[in-house]
Amino acid sequence: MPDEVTLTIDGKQITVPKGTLVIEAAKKLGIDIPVFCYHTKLEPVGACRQCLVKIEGFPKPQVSCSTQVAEGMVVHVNTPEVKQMWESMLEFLLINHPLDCPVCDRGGECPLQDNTFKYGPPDSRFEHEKRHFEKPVPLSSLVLLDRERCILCFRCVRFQREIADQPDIYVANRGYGDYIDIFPGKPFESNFSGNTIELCPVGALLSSLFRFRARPWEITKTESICPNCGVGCNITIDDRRRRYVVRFLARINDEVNEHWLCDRGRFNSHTINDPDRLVKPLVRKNGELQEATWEEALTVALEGMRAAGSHAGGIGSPARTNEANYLFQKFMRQVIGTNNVDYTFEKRTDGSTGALASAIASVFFNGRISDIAESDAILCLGSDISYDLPLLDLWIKKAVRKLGKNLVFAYPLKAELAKYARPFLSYHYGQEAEFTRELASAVSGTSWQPLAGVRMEDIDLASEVLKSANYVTVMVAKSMIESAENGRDVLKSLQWIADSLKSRNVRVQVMLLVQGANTFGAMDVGLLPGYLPGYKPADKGLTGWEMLEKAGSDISALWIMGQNPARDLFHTEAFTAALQKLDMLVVQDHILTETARYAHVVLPSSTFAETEGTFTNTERRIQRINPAIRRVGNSKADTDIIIEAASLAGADFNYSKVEEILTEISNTVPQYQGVTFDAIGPFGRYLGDLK
Amino acid sequence: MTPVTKLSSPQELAEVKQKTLSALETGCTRVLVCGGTGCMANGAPAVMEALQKALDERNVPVRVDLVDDSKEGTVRLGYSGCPGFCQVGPIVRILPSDYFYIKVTPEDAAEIVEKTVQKGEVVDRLLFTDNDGKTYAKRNELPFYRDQVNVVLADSGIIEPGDIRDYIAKDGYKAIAEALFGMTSEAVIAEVTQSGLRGRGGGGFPTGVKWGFTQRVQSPKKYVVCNADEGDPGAFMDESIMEGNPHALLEGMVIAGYAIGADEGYIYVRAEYPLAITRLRTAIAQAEAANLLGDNILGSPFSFHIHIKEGAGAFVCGEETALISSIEGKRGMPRPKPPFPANSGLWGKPTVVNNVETFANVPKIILNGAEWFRSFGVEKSTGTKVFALTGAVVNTGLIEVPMGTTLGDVVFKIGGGIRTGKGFKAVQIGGPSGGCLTTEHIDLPLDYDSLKAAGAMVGSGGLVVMDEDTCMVEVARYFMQFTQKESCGKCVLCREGTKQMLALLEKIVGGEGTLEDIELLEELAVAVRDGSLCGLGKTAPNPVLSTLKYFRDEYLAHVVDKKCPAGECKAFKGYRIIEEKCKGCSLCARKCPVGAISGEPKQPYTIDQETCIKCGVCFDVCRFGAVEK
Repeated sequence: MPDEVTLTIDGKQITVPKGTLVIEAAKKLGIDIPVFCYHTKLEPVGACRQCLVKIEGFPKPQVSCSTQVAEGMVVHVNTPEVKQMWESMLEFLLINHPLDCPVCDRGGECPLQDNTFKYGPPDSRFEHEKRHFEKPVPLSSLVLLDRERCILCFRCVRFQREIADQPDIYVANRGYGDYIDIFPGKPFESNFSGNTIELCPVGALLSSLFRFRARPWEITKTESICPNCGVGCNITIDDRRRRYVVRFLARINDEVNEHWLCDRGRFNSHTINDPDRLVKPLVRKNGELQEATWEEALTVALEGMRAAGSHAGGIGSPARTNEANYLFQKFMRQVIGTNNVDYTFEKRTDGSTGALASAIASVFFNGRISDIAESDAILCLGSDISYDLPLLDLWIKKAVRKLGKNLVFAYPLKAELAKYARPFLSYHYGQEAEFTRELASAVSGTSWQPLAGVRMEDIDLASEVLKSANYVTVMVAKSMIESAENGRDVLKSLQWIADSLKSRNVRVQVMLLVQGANTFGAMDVGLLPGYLPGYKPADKGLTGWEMLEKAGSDISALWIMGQNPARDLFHTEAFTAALQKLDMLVVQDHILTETARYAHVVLPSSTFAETEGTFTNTERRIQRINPAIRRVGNSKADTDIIIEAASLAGADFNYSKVEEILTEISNTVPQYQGVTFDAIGPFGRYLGDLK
Repeated sequence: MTPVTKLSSPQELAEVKQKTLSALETGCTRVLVCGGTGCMANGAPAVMEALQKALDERNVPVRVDLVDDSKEGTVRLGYSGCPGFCQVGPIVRILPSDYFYIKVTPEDAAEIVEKTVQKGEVVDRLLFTDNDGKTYAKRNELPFYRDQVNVVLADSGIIEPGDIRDYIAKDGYKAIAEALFGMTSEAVIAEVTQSGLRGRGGGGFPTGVKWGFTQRVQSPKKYVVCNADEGDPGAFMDESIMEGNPHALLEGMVIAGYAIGADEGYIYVRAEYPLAITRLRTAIAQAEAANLLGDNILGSPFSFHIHIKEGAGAFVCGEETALISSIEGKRGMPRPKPPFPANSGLWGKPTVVNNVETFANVPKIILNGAEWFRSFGVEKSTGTKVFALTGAVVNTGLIEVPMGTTLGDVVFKIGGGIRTGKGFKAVQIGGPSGGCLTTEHIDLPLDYDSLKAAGAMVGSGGLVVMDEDTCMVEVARYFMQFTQKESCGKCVLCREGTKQMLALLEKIVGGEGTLEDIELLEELAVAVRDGSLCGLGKTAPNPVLSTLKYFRDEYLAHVVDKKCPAGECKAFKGYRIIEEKCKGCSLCARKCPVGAISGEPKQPYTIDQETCIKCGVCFDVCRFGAVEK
């Protein structure tokens, strides 16, 4: 093969693709080479010089992190000469390092410490005064910098420049005076800043939330999924003594989040550790919420709900597991006897939910996150991705900036991604249907009139970009279909665009952008009015919005699991008024939310950090979350609460393990066929291509 | 005003040449005042003004424009580029007689006009006089020039850099015409490769081969970049070319652009060269007006544009990848190679980077052929090299000699030997990246490979001659201080290593050094040389390594005997008053800045060693030789 190269490292032959770096080839052979500045996702810079190796034919040692393999190359790693160089490099790096490991957060998981123990010198021959800086310097409210510890590998600066394209930090000064800094008066406010802490190979960049909270050796790690948006970034929950979550770290999954997390996800551990977590059920007595036993609370709740019967309603959550949401809708439908179930209280336009359900059922949405970078053109509709699904913002930046792909970005406001777009289409808010029809007409070659505020030539350019691609990714916000006026038409136009492109032999993948960690799953498992698990049509029911709207009239009792309508961004007052009209409001949550304050029964539930189950993300990848810490007080998992309530009502909800619920889902929902915890594995299972 | 307007064919270029030549040849006397930075700073503008006044007072018709008025007996007065002999500036040169006047002051103007311009006589007192009292009237007779061979500097010092016609008259831009209308790009590259021209910036990479790499990369956009960030202390070859003959650089870049298929070029010139920048801007404007630069050069399909990018003073920006980063508006930091600029250079496009002197050689090669060029120099280092000769020699300035000229010829024939009368000790060649050569290298040919084998390098061509009073440890410390300050800080070895080496050198010259320090210094030097990212770090230890190689005993003397053999390092100096010689005049006591000397008038004085800061003022001022070191 001309595109492959065979080389020898320490006497072992290996064949790798042309352009592979020596260090990567060595890694494949299991040969360890210490590094600091090198990172597999960043461009090589060759700054730390730690990874020097001997390559035959080169008079001087070469850095394995930026030397590409060549046919017949002979590399020596495990030789006394190379080991001596590594030792020297570590001696260099430690010249100015304060060696304050006993008080450093990184101590115990520090590459500099580890490599020094493995390869470094026992002592230093340099005696003069080390560099001093004021420390720590707050770069933002979340990130602190200790310049004395910094070894200037520039990983942080490179990440912000190469990956996030938010170069908020830079190298100030020159030479021996180099240090990392922020620009005057401008804090490090990138929404990916936390990644620099994780990238830092020493204890120079620190999280203000983690600093001095725990030592690495007393941390237990649990694999989980970030519950904060629809991307479903793979994380590790780090906890101390199974009681406190001390931090979230990124878990590498090259198909979802690569090595990264956004700050919103990474730093959102405080509600888990909230000292005001609910520890006992509460029941309203004499107008006051008072502590009660589980049996008492569930009995009161059941009585109120069952009294309402078909006038009862249940609202689950796009941030709760598939298992919890599945049981919740089953409980509402079978035990309480109502068709009013939903996972959201968003306002949706008539018929849009049904249209969306049939599109999902027919596997119209088959887009894969990792294919964003594979496609030549990305059409992104109706979402400020950088805010809604931050990690997808990084995928798009990679596609556009690194791989030279085209982005067509359509959004009413000039959001962050607009500057990467060619073209950026700013349609009038409320005219989503008109706009998508115009674009579809242009792509299909049908005549049209510009009505939605986008210039004709821009639409034509977008259409050309899409038509001239070999592979197009279409990303559409769910809100554009469900909340927009005539959202059904948006979906139709999308189908038209996809069909037109396909007829021109353009490969198309379509991704539904959902905001909740488990929005997709909640819909899949039948927490939808009018649809049973797997989108099987059922008797009509009210949506969450309608339930709140009809509170006090058609709806007299509501069970809300993990949602807080009383703190809705736009409708707080209306929702609060609605909640007060109910005869029975059951709220299942982990803290006393604004909504819970109006409840008749409050059921303390677990957060995701204490829960076992699955989430289905925006690309319809099912992923596992695992309990990291012990349950707080007498709180219970959502599934256990529903099972107990059902049993109390005499229903046969016989599940001894969470996985049994998943088995029932997989037997009911066609796309989930054969899904078990084992089949999901540590990196999830993509379901979008299963009919 | 532009002297030449839109030329649309090689014929029109030839016509301009003929017209200029005939104007120059109609018995016109030329008075050329050196317009190089050194002479300008040394009073050349005042000399120019005085000459102008003297000519006006005597009603000598001064020709304003070259071609307008070509009557017999007119004088053309103007600034030339630097003739190289900066030590004796301001220089005034009279053509066609070629009288070469040195250290000219405004007061000399009247005499020059009366005697030389009007009567053709020579003004003896303005001539160069050697140590033996012999005077030399004409430039080419001067010992300084006699043994030089001028290729790159041939026209600098004769032509007026501000008038493109002067350059055209010297066959300027003819190489472009020949290349564009008579050669394929491959043929141009073949000719340059054949000539054996190697990069004059120090690395010595074959220019034609570099161009060939870049030409073969398929890309709709390529760049030619001229590295004019000449940063070595004491080096000013490139500055002189840009000031004295800017069009040669432009022509070389256009030819490079044609050869590799680029349509745009950048000259990265240090902002510390304001005169060079001004002259380059004028030259670019004139060349553009003449259609020798810009779209469809000389009516051909080839277009080439040149921009000037001013550097901001970082030495490391002379490293090509750091230079490229700097042009791109980024921090001037080198990046790993590969990818080489030939594949991914300026803005990721294939780019050729050469220095000023390299480009300035190119037109001559195209005009005269590779064989002609090979007739200068030696087998693997062809052509000539410009060196900046400074230090303890009699004659300092810019010199151009064939590659392979021996060190002895440069120091003793051209340089005229050691100025101080002391013995020759060493030269530092190649600036802070180079190394030292000693008496044992007197017969060493100065070419890329011989110098490399001797542990030094051509570098950009700085040659600092040192006599016996120079401490080689101090030399190493001086250059290490320079590179340490100029390290960009990207790679650990250079950032930390140079700092530690400097600290050790300071310790040694400060009298605190130990044998272990020398060992550690040597170990560090090897590590920094072998492991650094870019040329700056890789070569920074050279002064240390070569002084350790040739003058190890001096290092040992500093740490073991606690002595500086050259008597230069302050830490080892002590001043003492010899009682027998002291007349008690009190001069030393009055001059001492710290009041360390005391005594009664007419009685021998004494120095308080505790208070003394070893500045040496007492030694310098004593008229009786009563202070000893």
